[in-house]
Amino acid sequence: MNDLDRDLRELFHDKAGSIDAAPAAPTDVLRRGRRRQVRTVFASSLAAVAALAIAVAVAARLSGGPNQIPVTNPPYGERIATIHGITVTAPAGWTLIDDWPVASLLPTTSQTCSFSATGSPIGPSPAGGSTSSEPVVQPSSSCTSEPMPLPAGIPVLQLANFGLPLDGTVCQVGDLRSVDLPADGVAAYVAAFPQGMTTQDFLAACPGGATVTTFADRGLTTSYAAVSLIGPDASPGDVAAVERFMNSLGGLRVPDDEPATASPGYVVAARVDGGTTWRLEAGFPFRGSGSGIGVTLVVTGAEGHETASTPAPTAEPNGQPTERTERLADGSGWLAWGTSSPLVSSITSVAPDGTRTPATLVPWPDGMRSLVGSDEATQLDGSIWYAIVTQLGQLQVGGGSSLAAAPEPLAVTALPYRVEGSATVANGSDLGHAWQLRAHGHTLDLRVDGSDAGGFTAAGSGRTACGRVDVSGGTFLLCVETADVSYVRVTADVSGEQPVADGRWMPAGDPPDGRAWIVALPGEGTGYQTESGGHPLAISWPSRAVPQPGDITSAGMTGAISWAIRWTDQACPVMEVVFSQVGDTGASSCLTPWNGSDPAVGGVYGQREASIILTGPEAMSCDLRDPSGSVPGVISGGTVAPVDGWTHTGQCVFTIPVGHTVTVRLTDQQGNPILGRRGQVTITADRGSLTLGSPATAP
Amino acid sequence: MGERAVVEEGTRTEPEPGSMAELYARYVPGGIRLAFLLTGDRNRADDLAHEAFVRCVGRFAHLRAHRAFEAYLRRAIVNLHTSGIRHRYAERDWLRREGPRLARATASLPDVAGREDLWRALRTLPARQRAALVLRYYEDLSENDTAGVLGCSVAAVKSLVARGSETLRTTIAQGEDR
Repeated sequence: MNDLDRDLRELFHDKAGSIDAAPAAPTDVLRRGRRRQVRTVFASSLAAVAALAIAVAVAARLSGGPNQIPVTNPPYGERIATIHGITVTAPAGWTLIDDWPVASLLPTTSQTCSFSATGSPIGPSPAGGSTSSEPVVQPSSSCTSEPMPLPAGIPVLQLANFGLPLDGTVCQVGDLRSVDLPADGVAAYVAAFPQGMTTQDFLAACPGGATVTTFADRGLTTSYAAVSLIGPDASPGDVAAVERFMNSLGGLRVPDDEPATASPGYVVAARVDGGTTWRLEAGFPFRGSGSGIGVTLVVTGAEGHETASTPAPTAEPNGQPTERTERLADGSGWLAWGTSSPLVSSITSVAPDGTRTPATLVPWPDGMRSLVGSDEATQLDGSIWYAIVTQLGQLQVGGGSSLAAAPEPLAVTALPYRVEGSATVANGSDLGHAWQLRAHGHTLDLRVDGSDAGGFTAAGSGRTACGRVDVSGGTFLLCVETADVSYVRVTADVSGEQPVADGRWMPAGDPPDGRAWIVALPGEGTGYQTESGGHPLAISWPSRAVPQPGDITSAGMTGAISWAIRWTDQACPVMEVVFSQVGDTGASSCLTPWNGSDPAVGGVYGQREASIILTGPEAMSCDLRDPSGSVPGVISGGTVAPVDGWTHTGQCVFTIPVGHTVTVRLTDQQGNPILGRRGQVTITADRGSLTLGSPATAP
Repeated sequence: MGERAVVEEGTRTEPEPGSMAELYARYVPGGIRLAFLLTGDRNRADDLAHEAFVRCVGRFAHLRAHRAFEAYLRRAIVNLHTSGIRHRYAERDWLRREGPRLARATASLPDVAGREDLWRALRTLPARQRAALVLRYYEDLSENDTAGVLGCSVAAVKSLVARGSETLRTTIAQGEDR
């Protein structure tokens, strides 16, 4: 243990010990908890019933009957997966479904409540400004809860030598579609039984069941059971494969974990590479968003704990393949994976040293087609791809002419580089200067014409950051981005049709931690920086100690908008919303600097949402809450502009949908409230205007 | 008229075993301490721990092991603290302006003279780095368990701890230089 480790331990225990936390639960917390319990019971029941009903209804509409959908055998090779701590080998051409997420959908209890409610109307409470839209209920004395009969338990996984629809099971589970066992079919079905199980009931719910094996979780709190189903004409080889799996389950103890993913999925690829146990699951991870089709990487860590990636949709909006990466546990390389459109027939990862690694492309499972509409089925004509690479590189795709015509950056180029210790180094010549870029993790240094020109460390700033280095003749934009960012470019227009310069990249350090980018911006100008998967971000160059009219003094984005502070010829800054997902772009009037007493509010008040900037003291903190208690995205910190009167003015930027109200609490650097005695204000977004609920200056 | 206190003054009432009040008494004070280390702010710590508690008890009927409540509460607190994308964009915004002027400091930490310096430096860390340090050095979780709470790989935990430590050294060294 080094000095810092020891100091941290002592500091944490001292600080934690200074907190006197009363063991008595505040009444309002208990009340919120009870309300949440009642709501959860109802919501989960409704969600499960709705999800299952929709799936079954869609399937029935398309096929004419719940059990009549032919699903072809999946064309996948052998897969070795560990699902919820259960290692399973799926032979080539077999179906393997991770059903464990059904545990979060399927209600295990039914609850009946009758209660009388009293409450108060929505609005500020006299006690302290909190709002309540829910009645006060006392449900505990009048609710009855009963286990739901699930003789086949909650599905964990299914293995079969035939095609299965994603919403189907070989046993009878609630309202899920029951699939008949073919005469030559074999299958294994594994389920959890939170309320216990009987072998007789289990076999009765699984027609064709041959043998049953039971096991448990590590805490011995939940029973698990597997049943093998064997058709009369099954081949000896298939029977042996199922029996091997059944035999592997005896004495197993699985982790007591919640599912890592939100919905069931077909396991389309699964292996162990470089110490990483991974699997790709195809399904509907984007519930409630578009077709919902996507693929998710699940990595099984030590002791069977699982981590799921952000899902990838069927392709990027511009038709290009999606790309995600996962570092292998032993550091020997990367798992690159993603999806591609039907126009792509091959994908090759080309490393900076020229090494070419062809990716494996597999089709989407046939069993998903019965769960999407005909207009969405074409999305399933593309592919899912993966490759194990030693270095992250550029993707080269092979395919039809339509794809080649898709918009793409002008010159995304991997820089030739060398490794010096743990740093990567690249040389080049731009803007009339010879430069050398050195990346060591999140530290970038630029030498220009043999001298240190600048750089930055993204220390304390997470995974991504950009900085600028001005030289005679232009500005170098340097960025550290995650490895899945495939291009960085600057354009003159917000729509990205007038390119100024494209970025070039190299791995950020050795071993790489993302990508280091350099963009050479000529002369002076303003424009928009875009990168794959991001919104345009306003930018101006060079950096100036005193901004000139038109200069961008700061910019940022949330998930909803991209905004900028632009200096105007009226010697004041305005807020511009340069991109809005709902189309409410525009500019504010002049912002108000911090006057030492009153924060001010300004922004772009649109027809669908308001983009708001609060100005106050430097380093103020903004805490936003909406009535449900969640916190919308907010950017706070920093100063508005490096100009007298503004250098000590801080800012917070956020959006509010029209018709919504948020409560804002502002505190200074020391944590003191700066909105009067109550320390908070409510802001309601109306069409084209705001309504403030407590004193503030509205320009 | 104000709310009636759960435990009235002068009366000590043990919460009913297995009740929500007992769960609170058993786990939430520790959760508040954890949240305080994550946020550095007592009021936010209370809010964070209470919100996590409400969310966990809302799902309590579905937990398969009641004794896992502490782990679920811990995970909920950390997730609430680190959730959202605002950190990334706040940092991006700040660095757009300040990045080129940031000095690089690679000197190792010579000595941690003042804990308050270290405490202040901790407050500048990104949420996930700080959470990784708190989980490793306060909760004494293994790298595997820390990865489970943060929902990331063990390699990512190692990286978060290394980066967080490096930043602390850098920040404190810069403070001493000034």
